[in-house]
Amino acid sequence: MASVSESDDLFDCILMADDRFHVEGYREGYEEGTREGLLEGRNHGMVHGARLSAELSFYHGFAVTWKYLLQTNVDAKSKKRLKAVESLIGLISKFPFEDSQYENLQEDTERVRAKFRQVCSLLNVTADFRDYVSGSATMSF
Amino acid sequence: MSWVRAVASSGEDVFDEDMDDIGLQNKEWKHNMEKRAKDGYRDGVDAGKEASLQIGFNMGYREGAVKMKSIGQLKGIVSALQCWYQSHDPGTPALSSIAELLRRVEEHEEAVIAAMRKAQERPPPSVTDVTETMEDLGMEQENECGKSGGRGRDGDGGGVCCGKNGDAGGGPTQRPSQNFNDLGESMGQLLRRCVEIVTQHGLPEELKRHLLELKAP
Amino acid sequence: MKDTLDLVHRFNAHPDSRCWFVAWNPRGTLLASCGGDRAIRIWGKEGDSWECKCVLSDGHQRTVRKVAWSPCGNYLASASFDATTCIWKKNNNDFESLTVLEGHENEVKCVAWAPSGNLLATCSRDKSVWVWEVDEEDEYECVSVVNSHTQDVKHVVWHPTQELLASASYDNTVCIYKEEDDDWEVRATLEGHTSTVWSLAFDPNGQRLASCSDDRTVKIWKECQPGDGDSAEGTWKCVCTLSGFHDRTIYDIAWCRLTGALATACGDDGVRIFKEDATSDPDQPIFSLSAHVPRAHSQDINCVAWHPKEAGLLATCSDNGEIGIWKYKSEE
Repeated sequence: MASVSESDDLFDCILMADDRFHVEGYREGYEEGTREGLLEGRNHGMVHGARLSAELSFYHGFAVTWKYLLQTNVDAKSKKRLKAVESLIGLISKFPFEDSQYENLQEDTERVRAKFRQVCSLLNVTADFRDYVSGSATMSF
Repeated sequence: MSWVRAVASSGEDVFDEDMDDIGLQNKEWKHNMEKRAKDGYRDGVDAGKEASLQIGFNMGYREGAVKMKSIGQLKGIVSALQCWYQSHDPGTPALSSIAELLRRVEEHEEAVIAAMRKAQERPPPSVTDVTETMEDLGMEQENECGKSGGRGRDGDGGGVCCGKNGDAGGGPTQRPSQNFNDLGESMGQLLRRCVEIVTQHGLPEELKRHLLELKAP
Repeated sequence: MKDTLDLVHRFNAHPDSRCWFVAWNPRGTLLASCGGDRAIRIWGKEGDSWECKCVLSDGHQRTVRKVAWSPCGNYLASASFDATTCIWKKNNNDFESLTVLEGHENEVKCVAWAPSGNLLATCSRDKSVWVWEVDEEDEYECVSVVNSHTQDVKHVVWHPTQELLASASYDNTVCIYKEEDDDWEVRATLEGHTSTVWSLAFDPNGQRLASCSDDRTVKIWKECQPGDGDSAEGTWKCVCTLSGFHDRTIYDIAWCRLTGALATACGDDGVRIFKEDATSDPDQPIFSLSAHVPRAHSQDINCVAWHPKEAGLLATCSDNGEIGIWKYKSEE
């Protein structure tokens, strides 16, 4: 870009000044935007992570308790129930549900939920209790 | 700019007329440069946000998940005990203590969530000086998080869009000022109460051990 | 078309409501129907006409969507929009409610017995498929809950000889399930339909699966065998698509165990029978339209069921509450 005439130089000066202001504004804005983004992202992420964790941790505590309660019985029915409960505990324990980037998050969540329903069915946990469970998983959130 | 010509034709000094002209040009120049800076700022904010939303989300997600682990488990434990007694010994006095504890646990859980929600929804006050001096109110509408691609892969596939709730407040948000410490103390109390019930009613030792291992967040 | 499909009998089964489903008992002596009137009716042939032998009206609080006979013929299962599945035991000419299976969160859309008689499958609008086991004491226990679909599950069907289950869904897919370590899991997902898959039927020896859909096509699927070119074992591929034959949603499909003929129930009020060309390659079968009754009923046909013993005998039922009995004759 061989700039020969005076007016060309003048235009270049104007454009550069233009750019400089834009660039400086951009830099400041970027810093601010990053701060905002982190904060907003964190606030949103917190609610989502909390919701899933509350649900899965609930199943976990529920299952662990039943495991200890059932272990005292030796009849065939309790053995079956215990096996199902332990299977549920196993599913939850290996599940890194606090990692939002975990690639099987959705799949594993569904698996745990399905297992929990089966366990409830085996334990004869009543319908209104189940309403409470699904309600609490969605209610406050 | 007809008024300039009007002044000129009134017969005043030509030099003065030039001064007015230059002054006007300077003002115009200044205005234009300010506008460029503001435009740049706006673009910068958008870009900065887009780059950091997902990172922030991932961090917050983990934080939120960890925070709820103990309380979630405790709720599950108490609910299981309730189910157990309801099917094996429905007349037992244990049921009323358990029901009471469950209620307290739920309340605590709701309080924790409410604090998180508050941070999420609170209309952001403008904090930075630049924002305050911004004449261009277009700043507020710049929260189009559809651009950000900040979708968290949580269970129900809900998107991360701060505009979702019609939350038009753009700009920076305040740091969550809720203090989780006082909530942490009551978590300890809830755990202790549960241990008490377990001991009192001769429930399995392993359950007590498990409870003692649950940490308050 | 030299083949014919003729009406033998037509009667009103569920007054002022839809008849959703009909099922022959294994011996073919009784026909069970269910409907929007929340009742199940058992029909038996008396001379030339069909008589209602029994009405089960207190089992459900909402529409009964499907009924299924156990392989031994002594039990009947009914799936209802009230979210329960009822198991009835036959007692001479009467049925008593043995147990009610609860657990689904909302409308149960289908129930099916495994050929062994020990397992039962149910599916629901809650997107899940449940597998239940029944023991010697007639106690039912949930063995597995599988959340494989992303939408309402419309139908489940068992393989005629193996312990393999298939389900059809509003999410346009078909899922195949097998048992692994005491738990039922999805082994394959069949994609291809472009809208809701309403029903499924295995061929007489279980080598192929037919599906029918809201996309107005029927698809035939075959499981890939080892040495089948590039397809991995355990995957299924579509070997035939019947399109252009149906004007509306196809709600049901049935594959005759005796003749191999395929019958479809359509939202255009027509019943169609398809025959497989004897000379076609089983891996690339060709089916042709053998018979068609355009206005078989005055409203949507919901179900079609081949008689288990009498070749060519077919039952249909419709939104107008009617049941139709038809005779299909094919010139071989």
